[in-house]
Amino acid sequence: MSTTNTVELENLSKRFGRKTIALDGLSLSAGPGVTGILGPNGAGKTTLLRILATVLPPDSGRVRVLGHDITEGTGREAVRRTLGFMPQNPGFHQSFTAFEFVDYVAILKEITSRRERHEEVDRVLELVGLSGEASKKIRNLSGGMRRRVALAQALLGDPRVIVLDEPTVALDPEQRLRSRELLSRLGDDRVIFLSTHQTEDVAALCQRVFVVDRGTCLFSGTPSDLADVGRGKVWLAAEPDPRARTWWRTGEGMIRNIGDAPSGAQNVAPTVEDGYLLLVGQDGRSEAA
Amino acid sequence: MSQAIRRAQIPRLERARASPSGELARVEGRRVVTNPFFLASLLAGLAIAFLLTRSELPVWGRLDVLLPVALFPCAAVTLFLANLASSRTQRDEVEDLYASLPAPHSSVRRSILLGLLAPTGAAAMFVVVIVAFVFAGGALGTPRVAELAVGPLVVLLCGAIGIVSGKWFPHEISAALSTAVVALAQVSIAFALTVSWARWLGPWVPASTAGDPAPELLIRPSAAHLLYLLSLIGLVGVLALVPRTNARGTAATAVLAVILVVTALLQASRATEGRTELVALVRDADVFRQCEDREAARYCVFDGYEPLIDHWDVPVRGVLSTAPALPDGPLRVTQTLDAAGSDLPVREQSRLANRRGVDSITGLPTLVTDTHWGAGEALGMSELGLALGTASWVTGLPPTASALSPAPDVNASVLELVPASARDAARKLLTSGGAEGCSSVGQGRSIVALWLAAGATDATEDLFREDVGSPPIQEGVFQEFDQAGPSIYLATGNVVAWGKSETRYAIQLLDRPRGEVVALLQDSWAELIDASTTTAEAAELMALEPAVDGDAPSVERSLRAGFVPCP
Repeated sequence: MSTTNTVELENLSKRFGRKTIALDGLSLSAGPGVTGILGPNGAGKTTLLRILATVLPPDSGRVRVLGHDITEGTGREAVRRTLGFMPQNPGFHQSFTAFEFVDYVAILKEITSRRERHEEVDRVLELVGLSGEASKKIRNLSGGMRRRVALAQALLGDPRVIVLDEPTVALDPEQRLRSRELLSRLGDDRVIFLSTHQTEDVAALCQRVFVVDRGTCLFSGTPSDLADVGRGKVWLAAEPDPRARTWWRTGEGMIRNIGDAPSGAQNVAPTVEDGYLLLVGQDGRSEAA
Repeated sequence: MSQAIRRAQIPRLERARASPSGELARVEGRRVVTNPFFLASLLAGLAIAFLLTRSELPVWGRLDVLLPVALFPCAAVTLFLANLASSRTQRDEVEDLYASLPAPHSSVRRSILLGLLAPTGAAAMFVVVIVAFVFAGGALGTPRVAELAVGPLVVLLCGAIGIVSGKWFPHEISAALSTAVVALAQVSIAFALTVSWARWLGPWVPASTAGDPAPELLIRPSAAHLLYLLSLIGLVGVLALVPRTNARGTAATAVLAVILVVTALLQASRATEGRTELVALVRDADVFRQCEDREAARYCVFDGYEPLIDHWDVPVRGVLSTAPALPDGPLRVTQTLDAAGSDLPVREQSRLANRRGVDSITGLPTLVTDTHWGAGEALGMSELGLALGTASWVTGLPPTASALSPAPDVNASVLELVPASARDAARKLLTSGGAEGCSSVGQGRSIVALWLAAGATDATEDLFREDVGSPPIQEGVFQEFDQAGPSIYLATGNVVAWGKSETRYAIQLLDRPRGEVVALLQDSWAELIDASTTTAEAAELMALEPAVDGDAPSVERSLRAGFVPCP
């Protein structure tokens, strides 16, 4: 894999104050395609993405994005010019229209030619299905539409690295599918990081997935590898099994148990979610480690 | 796959990297000038400019100082909007997003500052439009660019202050609060500070904190103040751009602040220079006045006010052309400079006040005017004032206060009209200079004077009929000399208190054909203007219906109010 087309993190650490360790020697590497970052709340996902987006400097470790070291000024500047970032809680200038907001960000992305910029803004708004809402004030848009505005600005200038922190939250099913389609297409030749709690998005979109918890990487592999973590550990039964770490009643009325299956259990094919739950469950961490 | 998503594959933008500040500034500037509140503020400014010019013939020396006030709403809105723009990154929590973008965050604030050129330009355009409009209306004098520039620069300064306040206090209430504080500071510095030079520390400096002085008697270091204003803008601009943690920047701004204060103090001290020239303007006024004779009147004006003669001549000619006979002339109409609140020494201000109404060369009484002349609805007031003075002169009534005192012969003739019991009080009033004027109540010649003045022009007749002839008598035009009695006093610079009965008789004359009245006057002119002819006798001579409004106030009561009988 060429280093000019990859993102590499080595032994990355970040603390907030004395006690909070957000990242603890985390390392990972990703090339073109969609890379999913999974993890429970407080796992360090957002800190990781903010460092990748050059918003936050790491305390230690090395981050190379497309060959640029973001801990150096020139490298950081170069990365910003080829980066699209959608924060977890993107703020908006409420008095701006959707077009005005994206246009404003486009200027800050140094697209200074007005004609070129307006064409670009029209393009990204169309990509996220907001052409018809471009002239509406952001304060009048629904939560899902605002997420799409945030996604649109991240796509400005056709960035080679796209960092998206929970982009599909608040989207309706149709828009989620549309976003999946868009991201999978963009991922052909771009490095996309996608932080999410939606394991089905990871299963549908990602070529790689990293499971992060307490600042360290618990898992690295493909979504099917993650699903395989649960192989032989998911079974259906008529009643909850006391050996299961977790269980729930399915739509068919059966109990889906996850954990160490008893002999003779009716094992079923595990999903990415099953693998993830086994990794980050109360006992999963020690087992995975 | 949708067509839109397929288009996501367009080739990457190969663009030249350029600083976004210019383009951001354009966007920020456009956001301010297209804001409905900004547009409303310009409309409010138009209304203020209209109010400033509607009731008076514009004199640039006065108007160019006042005109920046019309831009105060615009400055307030600019401050408000700049504050919101400056604080919106923090308020709207887009700091993370902006931190990931190639343009540094400082470029946003720099662009907002640069964007203030748009509202400043709009304010400058506003001034140009108003100036053109005022010129078209026949303004006197020449506007001073340094004074007119204050308005747009105040807009720029307020915008910069808005950026700083938004930067340091990024709170919802910050915009309204800082707008209120700046407005209060401006008003306090301009009007509340008792130290005269301190008012020059404010962005806008009024002509005077007391009175309405003639522009010629004011010392305005306009260019120096403009420099001060620009320095202030520079200082606030630096504060807007300096990062909050930058100690060097803070130190540099502190040094700038000291330089500014010193500049302001120097400027204030310079403001006392040139007083000698002002004193000369007052002491040797005739050297600076130009006179023009028109038939029976001689008009004398200061340089630049020559067009006023045409305006004055209308009511004066209206009276003089109707009177059957005129006293030995000519009638003197002299422009004086109102010194109250001016930059003259107080002693000189008093001296000037004492000289009003006396021709400095001949020592004869003269009608005095100043640098004001009414326009629109206020035209009648100016014309009636001058017409009454002219009619007083024609009928032998004193046209000015100087005709009452302290001349011994005048005093003697006044005292003859006063009953023996009140003579001491009258003498005291006259010699102390405390006489407000004289009362023509009961004197028949005042009917003639009132009719001549009221009929001088259309505006004088309208005003006389509306505000004098029909009750209630409006305050400010004619004020009641004696609430219970029959007298009224014209409060427009004349010294004669007129009787209500005489006013009613004058209205009766106005209702008659003009030629008929003129013929009556010609027949009995000498008797009618005789000071000893009573109102009742004059009414009988002119066959007027009795119009009695009550007993005339006693001489004692008149004296208590500061009025002696008209000699």
